[in-house]
This record gives sequence, structure tokens and C-alpha cells, in this order.
Amino acid sequence: MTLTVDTEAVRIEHLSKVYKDFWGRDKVRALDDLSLTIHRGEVFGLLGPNGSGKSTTIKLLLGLIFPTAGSASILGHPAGSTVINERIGFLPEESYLYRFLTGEETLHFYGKLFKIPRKELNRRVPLLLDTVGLNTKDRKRKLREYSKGMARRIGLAQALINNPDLILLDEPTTGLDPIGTREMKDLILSLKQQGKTVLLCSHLLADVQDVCERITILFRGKMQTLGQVRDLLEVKDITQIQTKGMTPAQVDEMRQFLAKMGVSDTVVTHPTTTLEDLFMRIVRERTVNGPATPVGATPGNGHAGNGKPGAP
Amino acid sequence: MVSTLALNLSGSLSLHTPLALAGASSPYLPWIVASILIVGGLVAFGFDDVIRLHWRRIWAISSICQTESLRRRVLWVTPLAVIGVMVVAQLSRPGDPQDAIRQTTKFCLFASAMLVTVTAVILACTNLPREIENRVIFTIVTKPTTRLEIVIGKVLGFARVSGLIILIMGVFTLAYLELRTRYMVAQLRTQLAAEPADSPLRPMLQHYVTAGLLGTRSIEWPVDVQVFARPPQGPTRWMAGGQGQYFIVPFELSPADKELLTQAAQKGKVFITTTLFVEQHAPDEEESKAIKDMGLLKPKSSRVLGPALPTTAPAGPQIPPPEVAIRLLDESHRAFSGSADMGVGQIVDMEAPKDPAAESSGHLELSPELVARLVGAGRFYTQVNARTPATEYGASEHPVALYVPGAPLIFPPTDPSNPSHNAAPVFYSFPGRGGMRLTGHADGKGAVAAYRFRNVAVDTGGRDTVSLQMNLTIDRSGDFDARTGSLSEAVVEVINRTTGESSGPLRFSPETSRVSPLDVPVKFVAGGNFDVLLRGLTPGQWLGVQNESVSLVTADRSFVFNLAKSLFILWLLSLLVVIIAVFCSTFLSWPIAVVLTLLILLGHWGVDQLGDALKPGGGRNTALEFQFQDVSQTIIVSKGFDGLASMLRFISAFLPDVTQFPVMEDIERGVSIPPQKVGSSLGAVFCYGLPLLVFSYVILRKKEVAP
Repeated sequence: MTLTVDTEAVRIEHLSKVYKDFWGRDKVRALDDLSLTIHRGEVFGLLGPNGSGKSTTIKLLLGLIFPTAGSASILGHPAGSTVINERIGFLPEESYLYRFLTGEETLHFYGKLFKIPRKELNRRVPLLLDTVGLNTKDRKRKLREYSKGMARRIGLAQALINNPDLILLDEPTTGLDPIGTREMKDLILSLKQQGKTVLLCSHLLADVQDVCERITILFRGKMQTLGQVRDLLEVKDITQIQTKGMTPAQVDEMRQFLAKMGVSDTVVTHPTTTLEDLFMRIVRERTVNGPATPVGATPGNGHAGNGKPGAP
Repeated sequence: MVSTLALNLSGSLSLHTPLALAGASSPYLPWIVASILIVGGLVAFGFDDVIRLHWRRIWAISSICQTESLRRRVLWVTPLAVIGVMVVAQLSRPGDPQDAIRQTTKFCLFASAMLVTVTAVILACTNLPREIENRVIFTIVTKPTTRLEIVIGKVLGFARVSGLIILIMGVFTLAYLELRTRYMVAQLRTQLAAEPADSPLRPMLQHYVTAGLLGTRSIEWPVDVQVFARPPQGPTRWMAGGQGQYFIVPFELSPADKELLTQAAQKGKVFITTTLFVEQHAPDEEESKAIKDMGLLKPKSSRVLGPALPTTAPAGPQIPPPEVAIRLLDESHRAFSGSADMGVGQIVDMEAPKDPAAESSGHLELSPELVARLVGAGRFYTQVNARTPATEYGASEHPVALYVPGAPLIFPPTDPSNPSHNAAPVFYSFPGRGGMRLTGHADGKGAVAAYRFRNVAVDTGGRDTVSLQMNLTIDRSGDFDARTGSLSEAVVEVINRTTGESSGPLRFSPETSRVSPLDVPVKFVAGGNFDVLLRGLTPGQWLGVQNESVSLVTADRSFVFNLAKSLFILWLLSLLVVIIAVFCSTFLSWPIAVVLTLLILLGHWGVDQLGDALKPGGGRNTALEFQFQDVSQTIIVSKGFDGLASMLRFISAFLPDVTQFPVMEDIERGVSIPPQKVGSSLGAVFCYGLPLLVFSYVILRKKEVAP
């Protein structure tokens, strides 16, 4: 596939970052000659263990730190320029927000930084708070009273306040419960459907696998691999056939048929669901069939919750 | 006492002498430099950011700073300050009700200033480092916010907090002063009603009841004050011997003068010659005692030019021959070594003239070493002290000259602003505790302090009189006896220099640290050019007089407006504090930023407080105090001290001068703050604050905000 510059959301060329000590001597090479391109409208995963250079890459793209060598551009503009920040949304790895503000005040503040008209802001803020799942009561509370999950939600809301074209998410599911994690992943997929570009930086591989089309894996500041998730995960010498409603006799017949064809090492099992799917199913059933008055920790009684009204 | 002379009077000397004027730099220089730094910094480093500047983002950031401060309960300190002020005001022991109100005003403003400054330093120094440390800054700089908007927003935010504190303290100040004033005026009314009709306190009580205690006035100050033996009339000015009176004349040597003096010092002689009218009278009791104490009647050996000549003194009580004492002072008004470091100076006999109506002259021979020092310095001052009691010395236009036999006299330089006139002598008396001392005489013929008022605009408001405010210090009580209840007395004469009319003697009773109002008919000050002649009438009493001891009330003003001006100046000071604090916090951790902010803020003032100790030559004096046996040690200490002093002076030249924010000095005295002072504070913020704000932006722009 041939790409033009117009289809590029992010272009990184030979980007390096070396942290120096007080005397100007090299201390840590956090990123080493990274080159990659992220296309518009795709969800791209930046993977790697702690200290691999993921956050450094994001900080360089946002202009929080300056590169030692190389360059990066975002949507055709040099990375870090305030002009391009108009079209970017950023969720840091922890919600670094003003803890003395309420959820609503936080969004209004960040909205003002984008010069969003007051009227539009009054319309957009409640919508966003609904989208990230902060109920009416929680959005009036100060952020210092928020649980980690709620802080991630308001952090995500501030990242989306300007309806950005490119969203950089640094460990977006950290601190979220399974429901929150699923909602976050659903949100990322819906952003993709809206044509947004998402750069997802995480070391939770399952999350990345669920939402990303392409990924790169960094290790010790260097890029180790880059490609489509499907291509990278595919085991080419094993074929899997899935069907529904086979009896044991039919399974035996199938085995014999395959043996006649000369296929050995045949394994026949029932597929399993993921733990996340199981958890989600149980919670949904409990929510529908459970008692009218919720018991346990809820946002309303002062304990942390997932932010959904009546959630257990 | 003599050794402190130069130190105490150095300020007024520099105002009067043309030499000081010659060295003054352009008042526009700071504005030009500041403008270049601001425009240059923004154009060179952040032209794009200037174009993108948007008030809404700035206001949003400033609102966050304000909200954070308020939600951290910063305003809770204001009630503490209010309680503190009320406690201190109740515990203080003022001299009178007016003093009580002024002290309370001072306490309120001092508390406000302390509160605002400390709050501003702490908030502004800690904010940015904390936001970087806890990474809140990530979510700000990744928005379309420029670093310039961040810096301006933070400064504006903390300035808003300061403004809020000042507003609260201002409302409290006004309310508290109003309440206290009402209470005190009610008490004064009761006291006035109970006071006997002939009580000396009645006029003062009546004045307070009528004028109130919260009055504010526009004040005009004299252009200068000099102390003479007689009221100044004609071209001759007189000084009295034995009363610590003297005059000073500045010299500035041209290259030709220097060459002449250098050659004369090698080959022949160089003299300082003084030419004065001398008049002697029979000494009174005090003068006789002084003559005896000084040993002036003992036979003397020959002086520089041989034995003293007979005097023109009348027969009767013994009068010693007239003498003066001469000292040569450097630019810092310290005596040149070899020019009588100790005492009043080198004693010079005055030769009696052949014509009794002519001037006497005295000559002081200068050593070659001293001539070399004078030539090296180029600028110096000659101080001529009237030494002999019962003697008056009259100085005409050129009382002092440098004399080289066979060459023309070298006179003081021409005034740069008026080349047709030579620098005239300026007359002083030795300082006491409260200023130059003015010796009292019951006959009204004691020393006279002449205050010159020029181009004063007087707004009479239809009244027949204007008020002179006399604020004197009684340095020595003299014959005043507190037990008898007699008050000390002084007399004032106002002479209109436009019409020549004189008010005649106006008596009043001065009190230390209390303003004595004196009503003068308008016609004597009409036109704005007039002199006020002040004399003490209490025998043996010394009045301390300064330039600010006499002032003219030109108009009555609103106290509320004056308080608003004072608080506005305080807000400007807090703005400067915030800018300095934000600047320091862009590159330092907050504890170090707090320390550096205080150093920058108080550095200039601190160096000023060291005063003459840091002036050229201070190292020599310091080294002498150690009394080293080894010359090399003396040189090391002297040079080391001078080097340190130079460095401190150099650094302080780049630091802001907090005395340009006169929050208290005028309002405390009930004086309307002149617009120039408000302008001066604005100028300080512009010339120092705004360039520093641009530096802060440049530093933050180049800074990696991710720790």
C-alpha cells in the first residue's frame, strides 16, 4: 500500500532521547533511533516493558521534552508546536489534574484553553461526562475525592474536550476495573469508527490486542518489531476449524477422515470464552436481576465505584 | 560628632552640589533598557507566541491559580492579621489621638504589606515547581497554551489573590480607622468641654475636633534648607562661631588645574585660601564658657603663616582671635587623609584686614601628598567651620579658592546648568539627633534655618490662611522645665519673595515628633516663591531641623482616596514580588526560589542600608580599625573590603529598589501621596518586572517540563 503524507497522522524519523546528568554526561539512552509512521484513522499500539521508551516517545511527540536527535511530526506539523495541540488529546499515564477542582470545573478549564465558546462548552461538558461514565453527583465532587478509576475517566474526558483528531493514551486502562476497562476499549473502538487516530501506549497486552490494528514493540529504547496485530500473532503452520453442534460420533468421524488425509497431531477441544467476557456477563446479569437497592461500595455512599449509577 | 557629619549629611549635600548633578544619568535610561529587553526578548524568542496570545487562556490559567489559593484557605490568614493589628493598636501608647490614628494606619498597612508579600512569595514560588513535580503541567502544555500565556496567567492569578487580600485588609483598615476616629473624637469633645478656657491644650484639641483625625493633605516641601547666623539678606551669608556652623564648597579640577597643582606641589607651595567678613561681639555667658573650654585665650605658637594678628574685637571681655577650621572631603564626604581626619579640621587664623570693612583671609598650606590626592580625585569638597565663639563669619560669592603663588586663583567650578554662576557655598550646622541643630536664643537672634519654597501651587479653597506644618525635634531641652509647665518656643517668619512682604514673627510651641500647625495669611505665600525663616527662642535649647521639618499644606484631600492609592502601590509591590517569585521558580526548586526571591527583593535595600560603609575608601577605614601591625595585612583587608563593596554595589544596581513603593510613609503622616510616587512604583514594575517576566518566559520555553 502506498501512503501519502496526507494519510499520515504521526511520522517519527530517527528519534533519539538521551537523558544527561548534572555535568552534561550521558546518563540514560531512553530512546534510540526510532522511526515509524502512524496512519490516520488507525489505532496504533506502542508496547513494551517498563523503561522501554514508550512514555518518552509520547513526551517527545507532545513537546514535554526535546529530542536529542531526529524529528517527529503530527498531522503535518512539527511535534510539540502549540498549533498542533489544538487537534490533539492526551491522557497521561496517571491523571495529572488539579485536585481542588470538581469534574465539571476541570472540563470547563481545559475547554477554555481551547477557546471553546461558553455555550458550546456548557453543551459539551455534560455529554463528555456521560460518555466517560461520571454520574451527576460525582461530577460535582472535587478530584481529590475521586477513586483512581474515576480519575482516569475524567482524565479521558479532558483529553476529548476538543474533539481531537489524534488521541494519545498512555496506559489508559490503569486503575480501571474490568467494566471500566471494557468501556475504555469500546470507547477507543468508537473513536476509531469516528475516524480518529489513536496512539495507545500500554504494557497490558490483552488490551492492546483487543483494539489495535498495528503495533510496535519497544525494548530498551529500540524498536523490536512493527506490523499488523493479526499478522504478528498468526501461527501459520496450525489450522483451526470452528463449527457448532457436532456430536461425539461426528467428531470421531472427522478425526478418522483427517487421519486418512495424512493429518496428524489433531487436537479437538471446546473453545473457551475470556475471563473478561465471563466477568462482564455475570455483572450484567446481576445488574438486571439483582435487588433494587444496591449493596456494597457505590459512589453514592462515599466509596469508590465504577461511576455507573447503581453499579455494585 | 564631627566624624558622623559627612555620613548624616551626605544625602543633602549631593542634592545641593552641581558636581552631583553632573554625574547623574538619564532618568529615561531604565525605561529604554527595559523596553529593549521586553521587545527584544519577545521578538527573538517568541514572536509566534506573542501572536497566539489570547486573553481567555490567560484568564483561565489565572483563575486556576486564584481558585487553588482560595481553596487552600489562603484568605484565612487575613483574620489573623486583623486580630494582630487590633491587639497591637490597643497595646501601643501613642502621644496623642492624632498619633494613635496614624500609628493604627501604619500597623494596618504594615500587616497588609507583610501578609501580601509573604503570601505572594510562598504561592508564586511553590506553584510552578509543584506543577512540574506532580506533572499537572503535562495537561496544560499539551493544550494549545503557549509558555508566555502560562507565565502571564500565573503572574496575573497570584496578583489577583494579592488584590483580594489587599481589598479585604483595605476594607478592614478603613472600617477600623473610622470606628477608632469616631470614638476618639467623641472623647476629645468631652475633654475639650472640661478643659479650662486658658489651657494651652485647647487649640490642639479644637483643631482635632474640627479637622478630624483622618485628614489628608497635599503637602509641598522646601527645595532646600540652610542654617545661617543671620537671616539671608544681600550677597553675604553669615555663620556663627562656636555653634557648629560651617559651609561647604565643591571643587572640580580641570586638566590645567591639575597640572598647575602638580607642578606647584613639587616646586613650591599650594594653599587653600578662605576670604570672609569677620565680626566679633562681647561673649555672653555660654560663649565665655565655650572660649574657656576650648582654651582659645592661651598664647599660641606660630601657625602656618606666623602668629595671629590682632583682632577688631571691641574692648571689654576677652575675645579670642578669629579662627576657622578647614577640612578637605572626598566625594563620599570623608576627610582626605592629611586633612585632619579627626576633629573639625585644620585650624586657620583669619588675618585682620587693613580696612575694617574689608574681608579677612586665612590660608591653609597643603602638603604635596595631599595635593597629589586632590589631583588624583579631581573632585573634592572644602568644608570651612566657624570655630571661634562670639564671632560671626560672612561669606560672599567666592569664599574659598585654591592658591598657588604667582598663579591665578582656582575657584570652584561653574554650575553646569548655569554657566554664568559659580557653585555657591552651602551652609549647614552640625547634626544632632533630629537633624541639623539650631541653637535657641531668647532675643530671637540665634541661628536661623532658612527654608526656600519655590514654584509652589497653593489651592486655598477660598480660605484666608494656609497652614504651615512644623515637625521639629527638640534635641536638647535647654532652659525648658517640664515641671513648671512652660513650653519650648520658636518663631517663624514667612517672606514672600515675589512681593517682598514679611509676615513678621509668628510664635509657636514645637514638640518632638508632633506636627505643630501654624496658620499663615495667604498673601505671604501667594505666587509660590517664599522663604520660611525658623529660629528657636528657648535659651540653650537645640532644635533638630531637616529639609522635611517645614512643609506647606496646599490642599485638603480625601483619606479614602489616599488609602486607595497606598493600597494600589502595595498591589504593585505584590505584582513585582510575584514576578520575581515566578521567575525564580522557573529554574529552581521552591525552597531555593523563596530564598532567591527574598534576596532579589531586599538586596538593593540591604546594600543601601550599609550606606557609607560600602562607599569608596571604606576598606581603608575598616582596615585601620583592625590595627594591623603588618602593612600587607592592612592592604589585603582594605582591598578585599573595597572589592566586596564594589561587587555588592554592582549587583545591587541590577536589583529592584523596594523604596520606590512608598506604601506607608506619606499616609502615616496624613500626607496625600503625590501622583509621582504612584508613577514611580509603576515605573519600577515596568522597568524591572516586565523584563523579568520575559526572562521567565524564555527560560520556561527552553525548559523540559517532564521531570
